[in-house]
Amino acid sequence: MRKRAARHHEKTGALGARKLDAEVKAPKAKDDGRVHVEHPLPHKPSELVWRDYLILLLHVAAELEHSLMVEYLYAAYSLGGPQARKHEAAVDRWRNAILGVAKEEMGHLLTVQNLLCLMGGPISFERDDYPWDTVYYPFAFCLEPLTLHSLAKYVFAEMPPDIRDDEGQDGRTARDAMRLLKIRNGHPVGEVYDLIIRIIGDETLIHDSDFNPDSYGSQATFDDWGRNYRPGPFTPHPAPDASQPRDRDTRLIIARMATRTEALAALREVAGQGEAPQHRLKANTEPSHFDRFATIFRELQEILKREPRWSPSRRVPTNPVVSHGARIPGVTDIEAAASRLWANLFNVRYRMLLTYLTHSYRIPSRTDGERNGLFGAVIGNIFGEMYNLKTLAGILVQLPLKRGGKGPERAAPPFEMPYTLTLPNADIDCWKHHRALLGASKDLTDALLDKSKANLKDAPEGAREYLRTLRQLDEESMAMIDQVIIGLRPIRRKR
Amino acid sequence: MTIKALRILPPFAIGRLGSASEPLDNYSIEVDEDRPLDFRRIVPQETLVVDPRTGEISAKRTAESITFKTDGRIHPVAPFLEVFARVDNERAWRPLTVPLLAAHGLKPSDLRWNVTVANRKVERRTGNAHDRVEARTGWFRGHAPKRLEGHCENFVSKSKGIDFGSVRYIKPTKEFPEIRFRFTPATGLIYGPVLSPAQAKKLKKEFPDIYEVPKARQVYDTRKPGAKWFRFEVPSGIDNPAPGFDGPFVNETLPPSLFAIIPPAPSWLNDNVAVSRGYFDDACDGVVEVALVPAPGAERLTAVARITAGPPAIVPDALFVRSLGDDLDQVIFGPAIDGAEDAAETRARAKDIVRRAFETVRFLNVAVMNGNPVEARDPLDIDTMPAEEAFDVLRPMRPVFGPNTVDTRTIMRLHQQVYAALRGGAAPWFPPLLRLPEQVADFTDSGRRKMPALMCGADGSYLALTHRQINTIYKAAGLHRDMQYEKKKLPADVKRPVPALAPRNASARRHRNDPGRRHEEVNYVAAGNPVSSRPETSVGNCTPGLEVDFRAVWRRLFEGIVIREYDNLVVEVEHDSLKHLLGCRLMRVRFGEGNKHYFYTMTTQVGPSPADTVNQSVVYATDANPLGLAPLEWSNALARMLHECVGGVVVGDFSSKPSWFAQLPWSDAKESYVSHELRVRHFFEDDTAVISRELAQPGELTQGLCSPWQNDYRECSCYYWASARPDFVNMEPSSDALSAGDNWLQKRRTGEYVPDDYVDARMVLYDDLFHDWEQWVRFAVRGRDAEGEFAG
Repeated sequence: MRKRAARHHEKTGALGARKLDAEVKAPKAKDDGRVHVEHPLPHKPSELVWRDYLILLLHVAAELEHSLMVEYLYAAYSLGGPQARKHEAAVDRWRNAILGVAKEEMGHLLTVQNLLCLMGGPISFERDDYPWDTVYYPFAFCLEPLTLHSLAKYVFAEMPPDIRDDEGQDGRTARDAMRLLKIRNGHPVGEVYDLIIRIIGDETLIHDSDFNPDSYGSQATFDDWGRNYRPGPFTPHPAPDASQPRDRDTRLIIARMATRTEALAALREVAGQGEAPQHRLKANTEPSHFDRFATIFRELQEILKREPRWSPSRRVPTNPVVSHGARIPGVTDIEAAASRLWANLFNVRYRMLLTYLTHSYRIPSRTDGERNGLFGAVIGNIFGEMYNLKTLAGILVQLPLKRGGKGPERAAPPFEMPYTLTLPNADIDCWKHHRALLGASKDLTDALLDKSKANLKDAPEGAREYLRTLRQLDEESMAMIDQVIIGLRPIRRKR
Repeated sequence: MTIKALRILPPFAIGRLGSASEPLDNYSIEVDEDRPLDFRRIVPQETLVVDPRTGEISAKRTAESITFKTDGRIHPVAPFLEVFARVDNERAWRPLTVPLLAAHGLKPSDLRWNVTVANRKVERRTGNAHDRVEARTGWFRGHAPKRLEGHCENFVSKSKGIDFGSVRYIKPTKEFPEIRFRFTPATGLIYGPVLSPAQAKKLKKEFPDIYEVPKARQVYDTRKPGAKWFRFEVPSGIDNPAPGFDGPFVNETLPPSLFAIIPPAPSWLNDNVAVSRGYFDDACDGVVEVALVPAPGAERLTAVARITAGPPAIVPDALFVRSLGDDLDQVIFGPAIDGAEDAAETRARAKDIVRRAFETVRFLNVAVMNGNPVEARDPLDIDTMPAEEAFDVLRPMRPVFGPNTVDTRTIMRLHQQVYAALRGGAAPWFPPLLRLPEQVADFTDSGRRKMPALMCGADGSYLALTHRQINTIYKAAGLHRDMQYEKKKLPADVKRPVPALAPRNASARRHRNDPGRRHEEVNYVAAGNPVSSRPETSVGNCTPGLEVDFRAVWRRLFEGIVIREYDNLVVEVEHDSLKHLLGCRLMRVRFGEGNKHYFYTMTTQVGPSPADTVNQSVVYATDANPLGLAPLEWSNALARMLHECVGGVVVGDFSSKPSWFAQLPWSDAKESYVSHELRVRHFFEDDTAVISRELAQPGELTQGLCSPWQNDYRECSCYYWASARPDFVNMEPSSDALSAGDNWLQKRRTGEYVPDDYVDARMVLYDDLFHDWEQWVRFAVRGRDAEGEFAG
């Protein structure tokens, strides 16, 4: 949690983990359809009113979703290497499952942004760099390769509160994970959703007038963002013994909301899929994030029982960075010169992704009767950057970590946050900002392609092809942005 | 040393129409590795110049650049065919040359040639064999050009015919000693009926701008008994007959009424009335045979190849996402990818598919094709696939994707980003987004948004890639797609009335499993032939296509019956014992060991439930199609069975009663179907890569195409414009990040896309094309009108 936000919790102690354990229960709907809270709320920080506090908590939720997403991406990208081929099918399956969870975290992140829009709060794609600690997570968030230990953290983060008492295999897995983490108690990430649901469900704390239903049109939609990642509808007349295509299928949730009821439904849906499965509807057969991580955990446990020295992951570092300056405890410098360039390129593209994401909430997606391509172009760029990050991560984990390219350690995507995600006030300056980032990327691409520097000596097959293609894409993007800038320039009238 | 066999390569060559006197120069297309997202580079290659007087190759030259049109005349693509020989027991084929002939005591004049081509488009509609136009050269051996004069029983006389172009046995020389042959297609003329002065006057009075077929090309004698092409009209009505219709059956095409009609057109805006103008075109397809007696008393050796003539490749530097080459690959290799295939090879093919996807998107106005309102107009008026879908299922029209995120440049760029990622080694992450062949009639948002989107397939539903293309992407992603057809306990009461086919010869059996060689032959690059003569430049398996209607090859796949090219209706039977199947529907095919695998030949159209568009679907039924049944295209439906059972026996389950007009639903009730063993014909002739003549006779590969093909440019609702006919050209980004450009079919280039509502006078209309198609069919190079094209 970013320091400025964290002080509210640290000073009030309102969200002390152990305290919440005892207090939080899901709200219940009474016969009148309204939501009532049965248990006392934790103390609100004295400097904040409830609406403000809710927005703070939504920022925390956004930050958690963002952080978990990046952690999972890192874990998925770490999978592979020559040693992993022994259990290739399992590793492929785990990678796809973890990437699927990360994709869904992205949906959660967008849904939280939508809720921020509904509450009239500022959207936020910010987070702290790794490693960082929060009261919502009993251990520091960090980027690390997939191991049984890191997997135990994900199992813990996504588990329902009562699962540890379950006698079935899920309960055993939860207990195994906690044993491995040496945690006897604690609270998974989902508890922040419990708290948000409690606050938003209480009409005495959040008034109807606090909602901004007019924000509905500017909220992210599945149609624009979902890319069809959800199962199709039920078939009209299924055979009695036929399984429906939706059964057990995962899906991307991007919920829009205009009312308190819709907000609560969206929160339960998001929390139910991910970090607070206790909120899910019983009829939902979709495997939760906990289900998926628990399955991987058990499969990896089984393999390690037979082959304790086997690893599904490459030798990638924990919390890799390319930042210059003083060393930060818990991080690993990417030392190899060419790998650093690739890591820089990764950071620039990550920044571009977050900047486009932030910008997408500013551009109206619908203008009455008049089409405008800017929103579509930004959305397209966001997906493009996701593909770039995937590709760059795939290249980085094959590059050397150490100076001179020595040793078996590999580099990895650093996911370092930019100094700011705040956009300039004027639209024209936002586009200039996008153009500047493309310029930074181009400099790095040119440096990597510079034959005299031999920067691609250790790069995997396809790296050069990719850079050439990326360079051309960026040139065309810059030409497009130039056009947009021309269109946004104010017309100066002659005096 | 003995010549044991002959072969003609390529086994299938596409000629392209044009009236310029010189054929198109040879060229290839290449991806520029430094600018990988650019259009493919058109690279001039060595052109063989044939001396018109002697028939010899007088020179070879490489043009500085390729000119597709000169003084308003398009250069035809005139492909060469080369003859190869197998000597003794050698495995390799050697080019047949004068020295090789001489070494066997033979000379070029010992070779004989025979060409048969036909245009059966009119016959396909009228069902009258006397409407078939056929040209036969008979066996010949000289080097003079042989005109391909197409004659027809219903033409006014034997001297009147359609000029299908010419063929020529190229005279070998010392410098060019190879034995080769050339097909020069026709110029792209329209032929028509002989009208009485009164008929002509009436038409002209009613429609002053109507195209008048010149006297010299008025060939169809409307007075002959049975000559019904002029004013031909489908009696049961266009599209589907009204429920309960009990009039005569006419074997309609898909799309229906694919012919030039007396105005007003198109028919669907005018009460579904389609009355034929009686036009013919000079496109054709057929076979070239060569024969040689290698030694006195020896058995005569023969070889065969197919030729076809179609419109020019208007976008020479782009390829369509599903080409005829892909469909042929699926036949050759089967739908699945060998698990042992080298990963780099799979990846290369996956990259190629994605590359072709962005080349396809590039020429589509995606916002318009998505069904977005254009200039506040009702998108239902515009020629798009979602509008077509709305008409077909009688439901309100809905855009396919969120209207605010679709724009050509944006979507093309997204595809290019995917391409970049694949080039960089990323595994494809999008297999779940690909439309599976059995999902083509899923009109829910989930179904319609699968890839490829916004285009139509051979079955009239949304386009799917071939199984093999889909499986390529799955494999590149490290995923395995289960290609198992459904399995359940099936009945064994099968009638066996079909006479067995004589077993194939030993040679065929020996070579049947050599797909690599067959693939090489299909894609053989003959000297002097531009890339546009090859299957990779032909739109694959669409509705119906422009160079060939590939659907036609499946009609006779099962020995004894002829099925319609686009659905499961048995339209002919070849044996009396199967007479009872006439008019019945081939509902299901069972195959494999114990016939444990099976597939249905149709699916159900489903769409979103109005009550819950996300979670629930409903059957899209109409009065004319009360069960919402939709046939599946044969190329994909048959793929696995063909691969596993070619030459063998499968079981066809037919409806127990004829149903000429309506699809029937499958029922497990025993009385609802009858089962017959069916032998699956070989797709290729013997050990060659030539599509078997048993499957398609001359003229049948093009018979499902529009008559004349010019009409197709105006109205064919296939949305496959990106390759054979672009939709969106001269595209540039604008300051609002929307793509601006011209509709390829708009007459004047303004940079403002004219949406195609079929009737807007700003568009090239039917009679413009009939009058002067070579002016209006404008080549697009690097996405823009080629130099010299009419811009208005």
